[in-house]
This record gives sequence, structure tokens and C-alpha cells, in this order.
Amino acid sequence: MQYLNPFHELYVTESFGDEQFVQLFSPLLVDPALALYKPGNVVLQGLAGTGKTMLLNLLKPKIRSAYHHAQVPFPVPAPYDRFLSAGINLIRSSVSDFGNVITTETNVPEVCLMFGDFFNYWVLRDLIESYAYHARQSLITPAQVANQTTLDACFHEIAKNDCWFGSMGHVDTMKGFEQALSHRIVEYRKYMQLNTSELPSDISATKTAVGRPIIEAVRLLKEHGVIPQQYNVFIRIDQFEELSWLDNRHRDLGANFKAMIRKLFVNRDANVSYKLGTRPFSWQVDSKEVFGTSAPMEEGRNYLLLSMETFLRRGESENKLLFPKFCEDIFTKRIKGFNSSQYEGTVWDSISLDSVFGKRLPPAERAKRYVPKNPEKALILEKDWSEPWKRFLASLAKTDPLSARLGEAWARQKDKEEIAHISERPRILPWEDFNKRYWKKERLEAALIQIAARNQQNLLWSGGIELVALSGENILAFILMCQCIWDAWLLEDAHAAVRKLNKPIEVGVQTFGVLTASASWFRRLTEGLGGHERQRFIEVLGTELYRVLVEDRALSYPGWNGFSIALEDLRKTPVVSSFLGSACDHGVLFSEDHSTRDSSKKRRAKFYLHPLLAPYFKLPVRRTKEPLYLRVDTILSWMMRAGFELDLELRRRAESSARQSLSANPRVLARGDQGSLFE
Amino acid sequence: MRITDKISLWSFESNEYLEIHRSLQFLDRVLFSDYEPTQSPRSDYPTFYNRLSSWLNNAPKEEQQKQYFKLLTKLLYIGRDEITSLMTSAYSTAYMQWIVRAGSIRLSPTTFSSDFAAELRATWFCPTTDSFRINQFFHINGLASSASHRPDWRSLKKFGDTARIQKYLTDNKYSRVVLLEDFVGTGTQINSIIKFIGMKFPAIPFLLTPLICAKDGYERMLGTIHDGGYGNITVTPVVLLDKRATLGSLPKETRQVILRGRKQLLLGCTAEQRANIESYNLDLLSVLFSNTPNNSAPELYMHHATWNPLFPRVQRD
Amino acid sequence: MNLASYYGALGASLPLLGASHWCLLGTISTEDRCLGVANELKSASHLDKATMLRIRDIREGERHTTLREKHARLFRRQIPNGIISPESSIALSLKEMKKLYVDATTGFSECVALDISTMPKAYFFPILKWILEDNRFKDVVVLYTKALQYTDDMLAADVGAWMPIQPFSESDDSDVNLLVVAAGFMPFGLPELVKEEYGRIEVKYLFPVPPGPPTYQRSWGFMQSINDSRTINRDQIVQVSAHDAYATFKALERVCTNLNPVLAPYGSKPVSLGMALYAISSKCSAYYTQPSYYHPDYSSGIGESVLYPVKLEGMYLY
Repeated sequence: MQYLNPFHELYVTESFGDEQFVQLFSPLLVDPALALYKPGNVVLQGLAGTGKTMLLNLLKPKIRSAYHHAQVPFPVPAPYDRFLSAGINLIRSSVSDFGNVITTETNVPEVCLMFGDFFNYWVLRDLIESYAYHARQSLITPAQVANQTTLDACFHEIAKNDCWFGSMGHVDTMKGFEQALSHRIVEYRKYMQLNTSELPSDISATKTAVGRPIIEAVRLLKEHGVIPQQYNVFIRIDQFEELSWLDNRHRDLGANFKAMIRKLFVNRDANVSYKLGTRPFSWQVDSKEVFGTSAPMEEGRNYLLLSMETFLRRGESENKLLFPKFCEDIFTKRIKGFNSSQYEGTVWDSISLDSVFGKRLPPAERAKRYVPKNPEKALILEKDWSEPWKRFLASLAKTDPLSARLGEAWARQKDKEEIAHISERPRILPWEDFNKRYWKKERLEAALIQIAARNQQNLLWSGGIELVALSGENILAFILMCQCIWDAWLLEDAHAAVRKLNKPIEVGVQTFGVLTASASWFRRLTEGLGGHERQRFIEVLGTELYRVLVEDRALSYPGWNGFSIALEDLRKTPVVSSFLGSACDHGVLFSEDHSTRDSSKKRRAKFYLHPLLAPYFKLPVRRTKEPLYLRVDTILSWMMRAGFELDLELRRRAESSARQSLSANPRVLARGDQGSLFE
Repeated sequence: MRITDKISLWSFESNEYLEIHRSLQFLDRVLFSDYEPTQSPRSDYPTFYNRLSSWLNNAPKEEQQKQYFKLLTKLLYIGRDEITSLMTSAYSTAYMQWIVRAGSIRLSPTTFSSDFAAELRATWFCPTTDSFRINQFFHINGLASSASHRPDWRSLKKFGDTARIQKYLTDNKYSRVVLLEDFVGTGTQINSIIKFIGMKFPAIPFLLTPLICAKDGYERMLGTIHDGGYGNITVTPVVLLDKRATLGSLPKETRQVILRGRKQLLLGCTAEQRANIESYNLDLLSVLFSNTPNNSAPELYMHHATWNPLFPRVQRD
Repeated sequence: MNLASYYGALGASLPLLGASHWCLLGTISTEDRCLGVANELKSASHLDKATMLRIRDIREGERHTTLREKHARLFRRQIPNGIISPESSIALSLKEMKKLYVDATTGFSECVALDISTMPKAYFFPILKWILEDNRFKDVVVLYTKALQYTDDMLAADVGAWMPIQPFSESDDSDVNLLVVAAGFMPFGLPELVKEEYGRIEVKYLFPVPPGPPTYQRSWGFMQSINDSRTINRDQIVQVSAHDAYATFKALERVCTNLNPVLAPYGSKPVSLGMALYAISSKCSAYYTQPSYYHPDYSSGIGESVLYPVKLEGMYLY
């Protein structure tokens, strides 16, 4: 079956091989991220699945070569496409092996300096290989490729530079230079593998300052015309965050190594730029200390911070937002690039998100589907309501259960109760009045959830726009849904030899696919440090939010698919702040500051689940009106339920909060007062 | 109703059904597709998914269908490649450990290979019944067989002449016999063979190695050996199926629903089918790629007018 | 038939070995079975010396300490002349681990038994390598005690970075062209890695058969977690017994011919042993995502102890 599913591989990056990467890569992200391909140090932050790795991969020589050989225009526009890059994966390049030589007596700063020296040699070796690769693959025009004499002369001069402290004095050719680089790397590896008890003295006495040899080498390579003048040189750094693990080997070893890397960013140089990918919050909460100095790194001055989330969401209206276009582009590329005779007869050119997934079902239509047999079950009618009113609603539910439900909610509104005691059918439906369209619009999703809940039905999810919204600006989430929907669609008749996509996939099939993807997304929450606690917390949160939404019969709080906490309270409880920050860092929660509606006027932060978790917990995706205002203690109680270990004082607070029910009397809620339970 | 619609509906109650479905989708692709009884293009039960749909529909009520669906979390499907691995283990573990102990082969690098080779030459490998693919066993384990005959011992018991068998053993210098079987359930068949070899060949050490053996059958075999005083016979299954491989491992609610539904299943059975169930059923949740054992829960394999199978069984004697 | 292919119950195997007394290097842990081998060797009068390491996880609670102390007391009672090394971290540096190894094996005779039952991979991989390189030891056996039951709770949590099990790191990752994953109970971040880091190289999976249920179903669950991220096809799966280190070794020889693999030992200890021996022989790399936390009641009960001969009479068997 996997061969019939164009989305069976989630990751476009490199799992397909370079040639297919070229076909499937969407260039839409390049423009907003153009700074990545310009001179200057850049920290590109984004969650896994936002396209960050795809953008960084464009820096790699092999990907460059793939475009060249496929005769597909390189997505980075001129003149920014003129660059040479080298890279280092901080875990897989054996940097982590420095932890092997640490003992309680080790001079950690000395080891950090060794790391800096190792970094220089590794990167330069990779740069030379990258240059040679460019030349072999004709990525540099033959006229630009330096001849051997020039190369040897250049490397001879590089070797003479005092940044090497004389260790390269014997080198006078390019080959000799490469051998010297490799030799030192091998010696370091021998030392790190404990094959030698000490680093040879000629190495330990000639440790280079991190970054400096790279700068000097590139300068001279340009002066000699080896690297064309108009070319930029970029150094990619991968797995920066994972250095933290080294702190387990020795306290602050990882932190010190990170500080050493930051030193590269401080040395702004016209010829060499560093490009680093990282998760969002970890860069922000990380210390900005630079090795060997007390001056921290400064955004703007030392580096540019690019955020995937920012430019995926940018645009003033939904039409201009980048992410939907990105999804459309990725989708059509995947479909069109999928060559299977099983789809013979399909007109690929007319394939689009809309043509395959259709439009989202209108709310009224969804409501009808939630009450297949007993429309009255969409309603909960109070005993003290008048019979004409109850009869009217029951009758309305047969043709328009959504309107009936809204009518029920209307009658529960403050100052609207008289409608529930009318003696005859209402002539007009005030909740359908044009002047109340926003009231209605804000409550549609909550009303639908309640209708579905009352009929024991799962929510329906379908439509191209819906899938984009559920993705939460994460292309991985989007492709996952496509994969699951496609698998479900193929199950319909797995033996069908020919499948034509001439009409949208059925709503039920899409719903099943989305539910499956949502369950998968929930499963993935355990990944990463603290993952299991995060997942359990989200389970508690999602369940509680669903419960309060379903119990809000008056639909007074349709925005309770998220929660809000006062920033001041967060600051006073670092364990909560840190936990929620970690959840945001891992893309499990989304957060933003917001203006407060309550009398305290305190600045607040609101948090929402990743949209793809909405189907799993039967929550609405769209954010409307005010989120649920919570005290920090409620979060503590949820964290405790999730198995988080709290100290005595916090546990006491959590237990006290847990004894209070989250869902207050609806009449209290309907007064618009979230009550003392929450604040 | 389509399975996917069913599960969407069910997942209102619990997302567990989505997890089970995803798991089955994966296993169907990598495991279930080699089920031999349904390989033929003319099979009435082409794909697992078709079968799953009609199997769930055996239960008239949705609540029952949910429990049948949950049953599948404990399904033990042994595919072709898994059987190959078990055959390897039968030789490299069960046989190896037996022969080293029995032959007191020293664990010395200078003598082990030759000592082992000598014991191997003196071992006659045979199938217990004709369902065991003895040639595959030899092939997989890279064994060159000097034996011109590898009869199954169920047939030998019925048709064989003890003296001729003994002569064959002597002429070929076999001092040990290994009997292999793919699956032992209640052990009814194999027990009669145990008695046969225990009484007729008391001086010859025998190793019985079922690749898969239900605990009931294993205990029965041990009981037979003990009662008969057959000290020359050792039983070493490669995989032993205990309660965790049966309906007993399911949550109480699931088990009860299935057992209640069994009445309906039995109603549609012929007298012979009912007799088979009575004799052999151990409520195992096992399926082999070659067939579903009759010791498995009949819900899995039974097919008649009012019951659709999930893994239809090819009935043999 | 190579002697390396033999493995069997400790009690039945001991009389068949040339050596009659063994020096044991094991681990005091939270699991009952950490003393299985020591007790059996002692009862069979085959124990010469015993040194037990005491390894602390990165994140632990009171129960971890309580259980380890309990087992330490039992050990001292049962083997009064046994030694318990000072406590060390699971993230100990290789240099310090080497020192620990040297100290722990001081005075060992030429017959050493390495008990890997509850010894973390971060320790037993390098220690096994050092033992095999150590000219003092003519006879080396690896011992493993099965548990009777594993917890249904989460076995471990808080997985760290994908890092080499020292000293099995590769010199240059660009040459790696095969990832071999031994399927186990918990993928520990592997799905993410298989799709990201190793997205462009081939992956093979060693799937444990035997045993049967419930391990069988859990192993398929492991495979499914990875399949969610990167499609697994039937031909990528190589079945190998979870109890058979040699079969694992031979399977790796077949699968890795002419390739530069990275091994990911997520499976059973005997399979990990096979991987360790292959990594030692072929000098390939082995990576793992080390959890910071292990459930204190990871397993319960003391099952059968099994012996795996690795070097006998001065001859390396692999």
C-alpha cells in the first residue's frame, strides 16, 4: 500500500535522495528566510517540521549539486546563490567524545580550548572538501576553479599564518594542508578514545583560537582567487542544542562548549558567516554567555534571529499568509512527483488541496450529521421552560439542529431568559439576527462540539482549509494528515487498480485520517526530554478543556479551548513558567501575550494546544473570545496529576487547587464572572 | 458501515480504537499478507481488510464489535520469516543445548567443533507430523543430511515396523533422534507418539522440539513422559504459549463478550466442527502463516453460514 | 559448529568449561536479578572474586536508592568477600570508567565473567572491549539473567541526545551507509532520528523471534512507532532470536557486508551483546539515546541465568 501513497514518507528532506529533494522542495520559504543565504551570522529558530531543516539543507553542497544536475533552478536567487558552505554536526563529528577524557581533575577550560581547536580543523577540512566537490560537480565554473599552482601557493600562505602557532610551518601544498588537518583530527580522536593518555605536546601547545583560522583561511583563499570574490562562505552548525547532554558527563561542560560556539558569532567577519538551527525557546532561555568573556551575545549586533513561526504566519489576511501557500505547494509537488501507474487516468494538473479535500462542511451541515437519528438529542431542555418554547426548539432541531442549539444557548444568556417562557412560537429568532452574527459566529464551534457530544459523535474534519488550520504552521503535521487520509482512502477498495481523483475524498474518510493523524501527533508528545510528563499534562489539559466546553450550556465561554495566566504569577512560579516554556519549545503548546479583560489589568499569556491535538480531544481549532483564565495553582495541580515532581510547598498549593472543581456553576459563569475559583 | 467510519464513531469513547487500527494497518502490510489459505486470487477471503470488515459484522451489536476489535491487540501472528527464525532457534538453541548437555561436550575451542559434529552425525532429524517442513529446516540451518529417509513419526507409528526402524537407526549409526513440529496445542497427537517412542525405543534419547507449543500441551507431554517413566525423552519448545497468548489475557469485559458471542458461533457449526472445538480449543490467539491451529479461538478461523472468519482455517485431519 | 554459537543455562554450562573458578564483574542495581549470577556462581562453588559496580542514573528517586541498598546488603551477606565499587554515574566519562574498570578487576584471575544483566550499555560495551583486549584474561564469558516480569509502566523516560556509546563512535559520519536497529520495547526518540538524521540511508531492523507474547506484540509496537515516521517494509526486517548473541553477530555480518553501519542496540541484552561483539570486531559505531530515568521496578524476579562464551583458553571465539 505504501507505494500508492504519495505521502508515505513524512520527511521530504533527504530520505528520498537528492534528486527527489529537488522535485519536492518548496521554494516559498526561501524569500522570507533570505537572510540565511546572505552574509551575516544567523540563528534560525523553529520547531521540528516547520521547514527549518529544509532551508538549512539548501546550504549543503550535495543538494546544490542535485539542482544543478536536475537542471532545476536553485531556489536561492542570485546573487545570494553564490556561496560555499562547510558544516559540522556537533554530535556526530565526535565532539561529544571530548566528554570521554573528563575526570574530576580535568581542567575544563583547557578541554574547551581543545574543542575550539578541533572545530577549526574539522570545519576547514570540510570547507576544502566542499570546494573540491563544487569543482568536480562544476558548481563553480571551470574558469573560476583555481589551478594547482595557485592552490598550493595559497595553502602555503595559509599555513604560514600565525594563527596556527607554527604547527603548519612544514606545509607548502594543498594536499599537505589537508593531511595536516586530518592528522590533527585523528590525533584528537585517538586521545578522546583513550588510545593515547595525553594529547601530543605539539598539538596541545598549538591550539588555535576558535574561528580565527577559518577567517584567515577564507580571507587568503579569496585573495588568491581560489574562492571567487563574490562568493560567500557559510559554516553550518548542527545539533547545537544537544551539547547540553555533555553537562551529564561533567557539570557545565555542555554549557561551556555552547559558549565556545557563541564566540564564533561574536567575531563578525565579512568573509565567514555562521548559520545555526535551533528550537525556539531554547535559544531564548539559554544563557548567552560567550566563552572567555562576560559580555553576552546580542541579537542584532552579533547575529540575526530568524523565526520560522514568524514568517510562516506573516501576512495581514489569511490570503496572504505564507503557510497555506506552502502547504498547497508541497501538496501538489508531492502528488505530481508521485509516479504510479495505479493512478492512471488521473489528471494531475488539476490537482489541488481543494480538489482533493474539498471545502469544509458548513456548520449547519455538520450539525445535521451529528444527529443522524435523534435530532432532539442536540438539546438539553430545562424543566421550567415553557412548553411552546421546548416544542419549538425540538421542532427546529429536526431541520436545523445547530440553530436549535444556539437557541437553547440564547435562552440561557443573562437577560435573555424570557424567551424560554414564551407562550407561543417565536416569530423571529434573535440569535439568527444579522446584528447578532458575531455572537453566533463565535459560538458555532462550541455549539457543534456540544451537539456531537450529546449524540456521542466524533467531530468531522475535512477540507483543505481545515487541514491547513490543523497543521499549526507545521508542514510535518500537514503531510502526516495527508498520509493518514490517503491511507484511509486506499482502504476503501484496496484492490482498485485505477483511482481517479476526480472528486474530493469523502468527509468520513478525511475525518478518519485526521483522527488517526491526531492520535499519532499525541503519541509523539513523549519525544524529547520531559516528553512523558508533557504528554500526561496535555492529556489532563485537553480533557479538562473539553469538559468545560461541553458543560458550558450557555455557550458563554466558547474561547475555552485555551487558557491564560498572569505573567506576574508565572514569573513567581518558575517551575510552571519553565514547564510551559518547555511545552512551547517542543511545539506542544502555542503561546502569546494578550490584553486582559479582567479588572486587575495584569499582563497575561495565553496558551493553546497544538491544533492537530484538537481532533484527539474534540476541541475547536479556532480561537475565539477569551481563553480560560486560570491561576498558576491550577496548572500546578495538573502538573501533579501528570506525575511531575513538585516540592512540598508547590504540592500543597496543587493539592489545594485540585480540591476545587474547575467547572463552576454555569449561572456563575454566565454572569461573565469567571469567579474566585479561577483568579 | 465502513470500518473507518465505525472506528471514527468508536473513537468518541476512546482513541484506543484508532491506535488498534493503525497497528493493524501496519501489520497487515508487513505480516498478515503471507497468510497462505487466502493467497489464491480465487480465494473467497482476499484481503485482511475485507475479512476484518465482515468478521466484525459477525457481532450484531456495536458494543460487541468493539470487543472483537480489542481482541486483535493480543493476536499472535507467526509469519513465514518468523517460522524461519524459530527453525533456526530450534537447531541453534534447543538442539544445541540438548546435545551439549547430553553428550557432555566440553566447551573448549579446540574440541567443540569436532565433538559437536560427531554428535550431529549421530542425530536423526525427523518431523513429528507431515505438516512440518523438514527440508526447510535443513536448508535454513545449513545442514547436510545424510539421511535418505526423514519420515514423520505419526506415520511411522501407524505404519512403521519397530524392528525396521531400529535397524535403520543402527545401520546409520544414529544414537539420537530429534522430532520437530511446527505447532503443538493440546498435545493429543504428539502424546500418542511420545508413548510410542517411549515404549518402543526406550534406549534412544529423543528430543521433541515444537516450534510453538501451548502450555497445556507442554504440561500434558511432560505428564505423559513422567507417567510412562520415559526418561529418554526431552521436550523443549522454542516458544511456549501460556495464558498471555490466550483469550485469558484479555480484559474481563472483552473476554465475557466474546464468550457470550460464542454461543451464536456454535449454533451455526456442524456437529463435526463443534466436536473439534470441544476437543482442541484452547482459546489461543495464534495464527500461523500456513494455517490457523484448531487450538486457537474459533472466533478467528471458523467459517460457516453465519460466521465469517478473520483467518480462515484449512481443515486437515 | 562454532563454539561461539553455544549459549546455555549457567548451571548446566559451568561443568563443561575448563575453568572452575571465575572472577565476576557485575552491577548492583534496583532489579532483583542483579544478584542472580553472583548467587548461582557462589552456590555452585565457582566464584573466586566478585566486584559489583554501583551505577546511578541521571535522574532518580528515593526508591532507586532503597532498592539498590537492599541489593547491596543482600550481596554483602551472601558474598562477604565481594566488593562493591564506589557509586558512579551512568554518564561517567570514558576515562573515569577505564579507571573504574582497572580498579574493579584488580586481582582478577585469568577467568572473568561479565554479568550484563543490569549493566547499562554505556558500561558493558566499553568494559567488554577492554576485557577482550586485556591480556590478563584467557577465559571470558558473558552472563545474563532473565527477569520473570517487566513493569507495564513506562520502562524509562527523558531520553537524551543520539550519541555514540563510547568508544564506538565513527570517525566521519558521512561514510555511514546503513543503520541497523535492534527492535526492543521502547524506541526512545528513534523514530525522529530515523526520519531526520538517517533519512537518506538504508535502515535494517533486527526483530526478536523468539520469544513469543507479550514481548512479540511489544516488539511490533516498537516497529510501528518507527513506521509512523518512516515506512518500514518487510524486506528491511531480519528476524533473530532475542536470546542469541551469536545469531545476532552472524546476522550483522550478513547484513553489513561491504557497508559502513551504525548500530542501534535497542533490543534485548543478548542482542546488544551480539552488537557489541560485532562493533568490537568490525570497529563500527554504536549509537543510543540514553534515558535519564529508568523505572525503579524495571523488572521483577530472578529467572534463568544464561552463559555466553566469548573467549576460552586464550582464543577469541567471534
